[in-house]
Amino acid sequence: MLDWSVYGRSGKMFLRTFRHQREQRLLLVPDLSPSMRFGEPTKMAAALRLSAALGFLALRSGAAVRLALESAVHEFRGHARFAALLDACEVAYARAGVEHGFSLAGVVQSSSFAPSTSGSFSADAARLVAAAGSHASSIILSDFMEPAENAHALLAASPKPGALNLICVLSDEEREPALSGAFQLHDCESGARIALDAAPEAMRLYRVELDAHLAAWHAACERRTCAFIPAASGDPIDELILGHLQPAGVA
Amino acid sequence: MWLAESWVLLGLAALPALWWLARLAARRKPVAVASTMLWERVAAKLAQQRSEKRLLDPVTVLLLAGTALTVLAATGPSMMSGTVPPPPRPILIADNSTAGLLETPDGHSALGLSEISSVSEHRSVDTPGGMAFDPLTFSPDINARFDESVVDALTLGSRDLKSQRPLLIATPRKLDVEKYGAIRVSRGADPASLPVSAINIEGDWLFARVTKPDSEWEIAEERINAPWPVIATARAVGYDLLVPLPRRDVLDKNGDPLPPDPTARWDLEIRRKDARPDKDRFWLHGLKPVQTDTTGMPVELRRALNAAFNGSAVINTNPTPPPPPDNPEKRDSRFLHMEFEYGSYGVDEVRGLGTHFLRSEVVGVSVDPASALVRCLPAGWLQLENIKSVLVSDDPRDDPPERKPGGTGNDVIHEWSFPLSGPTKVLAAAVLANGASVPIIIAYPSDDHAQGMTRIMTSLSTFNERWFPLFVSGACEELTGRKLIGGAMYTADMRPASAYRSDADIAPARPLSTIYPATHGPAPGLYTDGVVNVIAPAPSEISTEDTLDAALEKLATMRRDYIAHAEQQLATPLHAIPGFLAMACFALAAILLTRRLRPA
Repeated sequence: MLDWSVYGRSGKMFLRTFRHQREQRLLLVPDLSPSMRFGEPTKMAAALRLSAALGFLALRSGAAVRLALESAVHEFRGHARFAALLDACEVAYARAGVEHGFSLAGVVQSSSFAPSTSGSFSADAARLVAAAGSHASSIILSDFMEPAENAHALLAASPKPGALNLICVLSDEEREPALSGAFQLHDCESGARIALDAAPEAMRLYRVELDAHLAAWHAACERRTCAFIPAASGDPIDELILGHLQPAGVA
Repeated sequence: MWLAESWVLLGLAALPALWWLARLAARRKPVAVASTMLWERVAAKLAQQRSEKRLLDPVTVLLLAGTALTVLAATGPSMMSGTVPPPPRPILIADNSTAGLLETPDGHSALGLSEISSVSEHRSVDTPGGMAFDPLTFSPDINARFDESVVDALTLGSRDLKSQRPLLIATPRKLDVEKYGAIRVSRGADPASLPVSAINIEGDWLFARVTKPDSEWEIAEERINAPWPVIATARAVGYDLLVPLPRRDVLDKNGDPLPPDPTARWDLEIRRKDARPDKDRFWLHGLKPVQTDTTGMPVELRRALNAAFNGSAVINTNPTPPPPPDNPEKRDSRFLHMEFEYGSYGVDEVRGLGTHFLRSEVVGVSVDPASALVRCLPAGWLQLENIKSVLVSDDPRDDPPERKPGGTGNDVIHEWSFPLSGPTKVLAAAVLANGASVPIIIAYPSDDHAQGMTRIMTSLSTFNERWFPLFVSGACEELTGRKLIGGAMYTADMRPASAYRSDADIAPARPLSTIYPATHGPAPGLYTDGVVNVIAPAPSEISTEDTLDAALEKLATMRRDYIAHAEQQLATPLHAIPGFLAMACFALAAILLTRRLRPA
């Protein structure tokens, strides 16, 4: 399109070109399954806190933020909506049975919190990622305590490489378990029970298995040019964002 | 009783509480976790590790099998059957009656074994007759010295045995093998180099502890200028061989045994069927009783002689006048004529030596009567006239050496070192005086000079002393080469056949390796099969019913006395335990080794 005003002032013809401005969208999918209610602070609190922080950054940059909480997806546009985003996180955390805000975390044995409909958080997250569209970036926050084979379906849901990032939130107890004696371990999600003598050899084997598990998820993400960022539930937000997420290109 | 029942009731009542406590102790602490996915893997790996620990890999199994086979091969089937072969040990011959001597199997280097070790070491080598001991009880001090001499002799013998040859031990008593460490002497020796480890003659039976189990043996009889024919064979049962010796009795028309022929003698060669040249055999020489003329012998003395000779000596009670001393050629050289004088020397003339003394004179035509006079006194005081080795004299004309009241002849010999010069035979014996054993030493001219000795004149203070027959027996043995006490009729020579140069070499005057009978054992002819395992019960084929109990009792006695140390080596399950323990240790070592070799 010819810019006539410039032509009138200068007598030279300038052609003004326009590019269609597309809205930036960010999908945040924090894991709210019962397994996230462990740790000090809880992994769920850490995931929601990190989701709020990432949503705040996205809103400030003018992007639209979609926050998937339970079965509902809340959409926020404009930085003025950050308060609403925070409220949604608080409500979600409160529905999970946590009495106080994000700063407080405790083990919640509430049964009112509905588990995932599909039984696998990665499957639910994959559906959300696929529905987010090709122009949206997605960040999944979970402990990813499921087989690494599930990563393929989740990563395949991403419309393009690099659009999906996984933040693995683990509690300190999971990273360095301090068990001793004879235990009957109870899985809070599946209800499975395992009798185990927490001997040093068992602790060593657990660390080996945890490293192997994280390495498998990391390898799967690398193949899809996705970021897999491990994080501890007790890490400060700023340190996590500036130290891990920003270098990885997530924030 | 009620107390025990109350305890039972209390225990029953406490069972539920104990069960509850056990459950409480075994209860695991429940812990909820976010996910058991990783813990399941951990548990699976732990279970796999435990199963691997229990699992014996093929290498371990092979090592175990090899170890077991090796142990079995090393111990042989005897371990499984509960028997173990006897350990290598020197030849041990229990001599209950006379000479004690150590001799190497080749018969050349001998060490005297007596309570006077310093003497015997020097004398017995040149004195085939060696030293003789009283078969009866020794006094404690003599026992102690004897023990020392045994140890000394064994030590000397072990030093001498640089070729690690086993020792041949002839001892007046049964040696406690463990006590004297005789096994140490034979350490490293080839147990198969000697045919037997122990010999015992019981009546007309030969018991032998052979070194090769279940071996076949032959008994060959000597024939002049002819090969020795085999007259009997026997098989050892394990390591025990029991061989009936040939009966030599000559029966009359009624089947009664005739008096033994005084001139008869026999020689047997007992050899293993697979005997090697000059090995795996030994010889047994039988001598018949000595006929003794006891003219003028009192009844009590005759009884004592009868008892002492155990019926082996024929005592002529008929006053058959012996040939006059001045015409000894007319005498039968095989006869031993004894004359006794009574009271020729008063007790009081023996200074301070008590009431018993003995004086003997050996008179021979070839020897100056004065020089042949041998006087033996209790406590070993003796005199050899015209021989420089006078120890002490009871002759008041001589200057007696220092005497030690209560001392023994050993003291004197030790001080005077017994410097016998010239051919002399020494007989050590012991007598019983007043119930106490007193050693005496008798010295004679050597064989060459004693050939003409045909008479012993003995003076003694008391005729019914028990020691008198002993002395006479010892003297007779020295002069005739025959042992009278206890009916001893056997000499066994362990030397190889090549060691004999002539028939004279096997003359009975070589008692170094003599074996002697004991006073017990199975009666002749009791057994029909000829071979009886002395450890096992006696066979039922005992034909003499009236002596069955006695024979069994004797057999049991013989077992205790002669094979006690062998029985310790015999098989009991306890003896197999070390073998099994060794096998278990080897197996454990193999497992540990395998585990350590396994890559992490």
